[in-house]
Amino acid sequence: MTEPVKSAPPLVFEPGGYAKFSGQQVPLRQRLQSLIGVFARDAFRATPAKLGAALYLLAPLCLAAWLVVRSYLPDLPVAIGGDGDALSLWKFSKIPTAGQVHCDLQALETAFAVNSFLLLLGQATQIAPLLARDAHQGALLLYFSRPVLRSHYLLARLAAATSIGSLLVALPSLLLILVALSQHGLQPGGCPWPGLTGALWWLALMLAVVVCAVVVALATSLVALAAGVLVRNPSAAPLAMGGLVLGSLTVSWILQAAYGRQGLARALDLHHALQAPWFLLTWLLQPSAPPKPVLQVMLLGLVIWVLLAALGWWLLQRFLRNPPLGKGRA
Amino acid sequence: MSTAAPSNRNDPVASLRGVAKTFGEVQALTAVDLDLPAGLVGVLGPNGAGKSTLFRLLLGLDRADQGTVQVLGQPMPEQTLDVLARVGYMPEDDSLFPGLHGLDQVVHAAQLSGLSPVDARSRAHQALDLCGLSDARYRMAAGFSLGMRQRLRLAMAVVHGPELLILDEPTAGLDPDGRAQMLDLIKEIAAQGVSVLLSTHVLPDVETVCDHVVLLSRGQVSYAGSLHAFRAGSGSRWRIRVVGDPAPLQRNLTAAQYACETEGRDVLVTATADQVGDLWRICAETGVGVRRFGPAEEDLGTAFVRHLRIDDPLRRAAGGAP
Repeated sequence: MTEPVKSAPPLVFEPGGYAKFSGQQVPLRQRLQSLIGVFARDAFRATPAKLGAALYLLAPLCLAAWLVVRSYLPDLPVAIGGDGDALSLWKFSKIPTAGQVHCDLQALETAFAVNSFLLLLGQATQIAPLLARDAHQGALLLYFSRPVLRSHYLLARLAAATSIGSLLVALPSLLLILVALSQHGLQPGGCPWPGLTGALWWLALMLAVVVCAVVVALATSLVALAAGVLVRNPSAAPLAMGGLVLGSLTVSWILQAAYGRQGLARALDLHHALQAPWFLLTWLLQPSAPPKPVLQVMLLGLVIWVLLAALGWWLLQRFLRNPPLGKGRA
Repeated sequence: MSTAAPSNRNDPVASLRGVAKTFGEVQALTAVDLDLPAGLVGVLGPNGAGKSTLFRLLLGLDRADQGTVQVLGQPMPEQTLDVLARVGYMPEDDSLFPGLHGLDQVVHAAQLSGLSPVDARSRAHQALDLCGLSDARYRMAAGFSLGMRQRLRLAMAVVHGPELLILDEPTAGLDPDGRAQMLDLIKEIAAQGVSVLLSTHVLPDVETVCDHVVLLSRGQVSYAGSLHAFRAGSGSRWRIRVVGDPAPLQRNLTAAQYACETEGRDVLVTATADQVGDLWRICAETGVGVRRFGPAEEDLGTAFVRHLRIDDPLRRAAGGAP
């Protein structure tokens, strides 16, 4: 005896069908961590982001490999530092200047200089549309109709963007410091102290790299997210943020051309203002290294940047108090 | 996480007391007193009636200007996190997490609802199987058809095993087959003891799955009660089921000046409640056996319009007295 074949069952349920969940729920903090993980992966999902990050990290890796190879060639020894400023190893995320490394690395140095600017622009334009996109596609409604604090949503977005940005800023510099250390020990490269003190000094330098990278990435993320919230259009947000960076750069160029006050002009230029934390920490570690007027100007840039970030934070808070939870267009 | 005891099946899943909500000049809800019972409840109302506002208040997305809202015995929005961990919501809009494939959408939703990564993945697979998306779990959700997206959103809403499921237009845009599948799914889930609030404009959907109906009109509750009572009619139309041929009874009723018609073995008569005795007398004089005598149920569309007209003077003027 066989069962008659049903012509078209309305729906095939797996064995068991719907069942209530009987497990334990994880605490809120763990949920925040998983949110950060998802947002971090989200930031790298787009092909331009993957490509940009790969290129940015590939350059210091190539340089590190090149330095190691060159150090084994007796005719072309690599002498990093020399003029007494090890800070040049890592500041601005650049490779050592061509003058400090006795081989022709001018092209790579230029590439890094361009990279440090493109990183800011790239990171900002990647981050700017995120909130607007979530609102536009209805994902905000999905997040806020779940047991997720609105502040956690914002914190997770910021943490993901900041961690990726700071990683990209810090990694090349840390890599170069480690290469210099492996090649020349503690003393060369401008370290004024031998032995344990010197080791601590290098460690402080590396920590400074991380702190500065985090400050730069956090400030960039805050302003970029706020720009996206202001525009509220995922397509226009990158343009708005790119416009902000390029606009400030243009103002800086105009002032520079008109008054020849390079440092002061750069304080108004957000790209260069981001270097302020580096200068500040440079000065703290080695008070005699940066000339004081430059430090003052850079600090002015830092103040401008911090004010912008504070304004961004206020805008984001206002956005989250009354977020657009309307029609989604996935 | 939620430490509240599971709610009693007889308790209302949500209660609103004197709730008012205004958006600028628009009064979205006005002094709403409402108990939503456990089970399958259809929330009906014309556009702008306040259904979405009601759902937003239940989900803690908005705060009522006046009154109190309780969901699963907890005050909202004070206990939003605890309540939302026990509630599943399927939005009306085409909302998805951007850039994720089907499985990741559901895993992400489960993790947001407080499940551990391992539980989330295992439950996500089950939810996708339940919703008939087993073959599409690794496809990008953005490429899903509308019906698949609706089922994906349902999977996301149920993945954490909610006690209350809020479905906003779950069958919108679906073809008849897809609609039938979706309603089957909803009934399957409700059969496991999940209370369901279903908002829809498709009245047959409510007839198919719901036990109770809430009708909102202009920010107020026009009707809240059982579906049967909702359709019971205005009390002016009666259904008499007779043994044998209904034609003689129809002739006698017509002769007595009653408007009536036959429907199979039923005679549908228009009469006031005071005239019920007279109807019984005519039945006795005709000599027909009466199997059933009671108010004639309206179809849901007629009942919907009639309830709206009771509340809305403009509609009443345009359409005449119900």
